[in-house]
Amino acid sequence: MERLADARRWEAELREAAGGLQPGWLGPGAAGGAIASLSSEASSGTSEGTASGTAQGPAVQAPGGSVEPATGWGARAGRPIYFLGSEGSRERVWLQCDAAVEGQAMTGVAATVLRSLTGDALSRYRPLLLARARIAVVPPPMGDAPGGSSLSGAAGALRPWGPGATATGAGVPPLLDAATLGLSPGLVTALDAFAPTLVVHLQDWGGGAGEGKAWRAGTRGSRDAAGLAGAGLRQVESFYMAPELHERLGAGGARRTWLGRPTALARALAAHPDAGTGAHVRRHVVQMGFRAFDSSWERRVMREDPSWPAVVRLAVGRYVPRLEWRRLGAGSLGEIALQRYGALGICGQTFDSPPGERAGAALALAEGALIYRLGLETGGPAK
Amino acid sequence: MTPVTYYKLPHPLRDGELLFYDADAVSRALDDARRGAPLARVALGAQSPPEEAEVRGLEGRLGRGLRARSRAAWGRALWWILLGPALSLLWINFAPAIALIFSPLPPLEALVASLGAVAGGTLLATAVALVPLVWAWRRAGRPLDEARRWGRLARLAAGRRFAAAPLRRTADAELQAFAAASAGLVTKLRDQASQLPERGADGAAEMAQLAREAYRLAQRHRLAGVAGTYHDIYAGFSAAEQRLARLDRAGGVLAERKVAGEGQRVRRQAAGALAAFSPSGPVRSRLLAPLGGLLAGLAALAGTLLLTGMFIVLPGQAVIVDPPAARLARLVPGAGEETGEGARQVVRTEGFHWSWPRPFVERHAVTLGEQRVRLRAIFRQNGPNSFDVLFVEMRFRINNVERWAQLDRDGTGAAAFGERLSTVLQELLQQQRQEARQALRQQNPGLADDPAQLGARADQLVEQRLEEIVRAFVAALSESGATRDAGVQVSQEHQSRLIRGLPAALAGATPGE
Repeated sequence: MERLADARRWEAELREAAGGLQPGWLGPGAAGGAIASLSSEASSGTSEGTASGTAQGPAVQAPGGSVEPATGWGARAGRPIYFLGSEGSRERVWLQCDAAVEGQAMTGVAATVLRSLTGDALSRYRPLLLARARIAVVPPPMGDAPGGSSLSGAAGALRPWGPGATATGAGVPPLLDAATLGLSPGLVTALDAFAPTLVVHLQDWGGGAGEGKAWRAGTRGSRDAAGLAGAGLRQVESFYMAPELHERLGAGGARRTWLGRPTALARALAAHPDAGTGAHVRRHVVQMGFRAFDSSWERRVMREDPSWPAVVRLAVGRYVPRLEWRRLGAGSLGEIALQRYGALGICGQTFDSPPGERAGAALALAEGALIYRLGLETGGPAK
Repeated sequence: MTPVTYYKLPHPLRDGELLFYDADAVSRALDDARRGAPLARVALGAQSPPEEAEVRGLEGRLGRGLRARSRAAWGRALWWILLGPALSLLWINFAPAIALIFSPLPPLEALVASLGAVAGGTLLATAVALVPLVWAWRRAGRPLDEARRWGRLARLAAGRRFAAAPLRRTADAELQAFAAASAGLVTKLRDQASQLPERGADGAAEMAQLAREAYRLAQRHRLAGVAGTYHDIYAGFSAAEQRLARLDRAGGVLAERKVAGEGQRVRRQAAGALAAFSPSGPVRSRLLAPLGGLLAGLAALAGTLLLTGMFIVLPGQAVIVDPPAARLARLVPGAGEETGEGARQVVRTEGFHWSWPRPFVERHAVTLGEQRVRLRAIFRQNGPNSFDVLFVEMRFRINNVERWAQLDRDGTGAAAFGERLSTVLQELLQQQRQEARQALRQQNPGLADDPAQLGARADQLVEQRLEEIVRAFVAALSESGATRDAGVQVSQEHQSRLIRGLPAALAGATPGE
């Protein structure tokens, strides 16, 4: 109860900061935005009575599907994991939210997803989604408590996870975080048991600048994110590509001939079933009114990010690890999931911008990934 | 050292078994072995290990497949290598035609037509001319590297070292677990494969889904080679589903037949991709690929030479050809003199002809009809930047093209001829002025003390006789041996005009004149 109340308080803060988010998170398009719908649910109290916290983690029973507590390995993961949807589903979606500096936005995202999937408000996609997929939602870690499984970590209690001290070593957030952001041995165990088919990793590298938060002062995360202040959402995708195709992509093969026709490489990418999902997702983010990482930021990152050579550009704002780095393994959570379970991984990175925008962009990415991967709506050809 | 690993598993689309392997890992293992790393082979089976003969059969096919890839890459490399000079030849010979696009901007037109020579000289022109060659040869670089790499790996795969590498054959628990877990998927895939032509897009979608599950299952069992193959099947059927769905949507009387045809094609493609893992069967050798690349490249080069070397001689025209031997003879004194190869050739026969194209040969057409030439001679200087200039327009006709060819090297013969005659005319005028001064000085010795007055009166006298002087000049030219040596016949008809007060730039005066 206390956790949900805190989450609502954060949502209210986010709403104030963002002036209301636009994307209807898996709800009817006119739902008034994710945060708005979440808050209305909170005020109506439709699921308030169903939430309960246990020593092993929270448990929620919702009309749209069951939200199971993070028992056993879930608790050992050191953070709460919420499960929704039918157990026997072929599709298994792992939605993990992590923050390098402050967790408000990502906690809001996780809370919005949970509320949206467990609420009883009219939704176009929810029944389909919960019938077709098993979904695990992992909010950001927080609090000082060992194995902290609280959604209620107030901003002041939130600590930067990993990269603040170790990960980047650069002027900007890395494209591949080497799975230091948010992954722990316990979480890997949880992943092993879940065996996802789709991993959506939402990374928030923004926030924490100039608000007098003593614990953030001087952390690398805040400085890094400031380097990309204003940049839109960036996608790092992990999907299997035949090594030959991957090598050609890494060698910078042209996508268009002199006559403007797509090359063999471009045709292979266009026909690739997993590459198409990323393209749809990016389009969805833009359609929802959020900024996507563009080429001007790309040029800047190219100069400043030492991890840049580790990736290949699929399209503007969309990257995939280079074959040599993939062979090294463990470049990111998505890469680990690809290598271990053959899952499609989509990592969405947000940088310094208003919390509402960061949260909204991350929600749009998660929404796009679910819609297009699970075929909830037939998208047009990727552009 | 990573051993080359083979996995014996059921064929996903038909009866029988395959020996799966990770092609990328195998080529890396062979690469490592080529650099001295030890080689080892492992053959794993679910229930029982594969027979050694099966493994050897597969390795034989693997070696032949690598050889075939090398040959195909050689073919591509040869094509690009030979296409490079062809593209450069086209660029050099068609640049003047392309430059016509820029005719509203004459400096740009001249720059393009001369390949930059007007701005950067021969060095820039050479660099610009070689751009297509460099581009094509850069394109050839990649297939050339691939050809050499696959060739080396093929030799290694077919060699004794690979055959003698230790082979461990064993049943593997992980593979057994995968085989058990994927048995249902394989059965469904086989069923669906046989019905694909009838089921169309739905069948392809189902097969893509089944193959994807098998891929994920293989990945979870750490069977990279198997996972990669299933993913390829998944991607293939997924793309086929889109194509089949488009055919379905398009409709039409032949839609059903098209869908069935596409379904069969997709099935053949998938089976073809899996054939690489079969221990027996033919391998497409691509024996003729290098020859094909060579012949295609040669054909492109020959076609370009034919196109760029062809020229036409119209009625009343002749074409002067400056062959490589003649150019060499001029560059190297003494070369070709004995054989007479230093001379330019003249083609007068009407119709199509062929010679080597630029830059090996320079050629240009000259008209044998009457031509006009405009002479310009400075009569006198009136001020620091003011000249009185005599312009004479006269007509001539080339009557000996061989002699004219000595004068006309690059199509600017008429201009050069005009320059020469202008110089002679100017010398004649100045001589006439001198003679007039001397005559006046003798007639009136008092004028000797006033050079300005003397010059003015002398010029006045010459000016009065200007038409007469020009007529005499033209008459002398028509009788002159010099014009005969140039291979031209000058007409007596002419027009002349004295224009006063022209600036130096228009008068053609050089500083200090």
